[in-house]
Amino acid sequence: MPEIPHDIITAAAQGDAAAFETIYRGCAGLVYSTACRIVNNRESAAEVTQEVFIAVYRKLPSFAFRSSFTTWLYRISVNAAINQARKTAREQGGIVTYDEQTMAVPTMEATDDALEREPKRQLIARLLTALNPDQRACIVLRNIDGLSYEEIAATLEINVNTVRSRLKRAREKLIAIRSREDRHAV
Amino acid sequence: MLCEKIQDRLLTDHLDGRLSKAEHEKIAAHLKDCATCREFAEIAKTTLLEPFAEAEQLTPPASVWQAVRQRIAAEPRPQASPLRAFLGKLLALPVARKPALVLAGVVSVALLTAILLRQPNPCNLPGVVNLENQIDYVAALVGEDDDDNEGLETDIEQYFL
Repeated sequence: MPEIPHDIITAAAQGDAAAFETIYRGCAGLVYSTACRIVNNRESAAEVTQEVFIAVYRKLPSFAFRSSFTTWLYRISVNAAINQARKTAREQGGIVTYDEQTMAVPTMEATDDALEREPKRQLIARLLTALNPDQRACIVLRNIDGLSYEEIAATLEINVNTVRSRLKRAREKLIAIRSREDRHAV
Repeated sequence: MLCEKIQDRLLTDHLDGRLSKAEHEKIAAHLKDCATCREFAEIAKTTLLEPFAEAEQLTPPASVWQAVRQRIAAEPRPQASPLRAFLGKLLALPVARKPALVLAGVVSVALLTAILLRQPNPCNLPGVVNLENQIDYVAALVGEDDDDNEGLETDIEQYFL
């Protein structure tokens, strides 16, 4: 998790534009990556990222340092992304399709390294498609961002047992998908 | 039934390294004897950990910051209360990041204040009162001499006058 110095947060809360830009530069990748993996789509993730930073700008004066800034930012980001994912699922009548390009980083030239990583990106995308937004958020926070159960609980404002239970159900689904894929491959 | 419970743990606390030493040993002993659970543990590791291990952080398009900058330029400037600004500065101090030190500091200040408030006023101590009485007594004696001199009736004074 990126750590933003307290004086930068305080300055941004008082309207210092340079301090706010420092926060954006330090945290935009985290917010965008998390949003991409939860909402399934790069364009939606960009919109979520924009909305998250507008919300941060408005709410910063009331940020009271009761939790870490990163936990607070995660909470805003994950909630915004889950809401967007649910909205998209509703609009698509419950059918969630994963944008396979979601994980692709736009680059001017496709390097060998980028090409080599592409199947892994698509595998992650495919696995996350099978999960509902709440389960997806837990898997992203735990398996990709490396948060502890307690940090996930604080971010999603749920208890640790709910985190454990969502992870368990999500992982059962993921194992089932991989088993099915392996059977088809044979 | 035991396998079901073991597999639940394999999918969560075991995979995420949250087991106590005793629990870990218990599961390790079971895996040694149970081929099904051993295979399940291997599948869990390869299916659930490895695909996500190399997921990299993505970078948002530059247009996101441009849009954010334009929108916040049109927003009213946020106003943090002076108290909150002070709190922010206080929490920025390195010592504030160690809650035990902060707590120890607060307790020390509270104890010191309580001790000082309970101390009797030094002016009311018996020894001091006694000393003041003695000073008054000496002053009274000296005062009598002064009274005698007030009349300017000494021989020298009369000589000069």
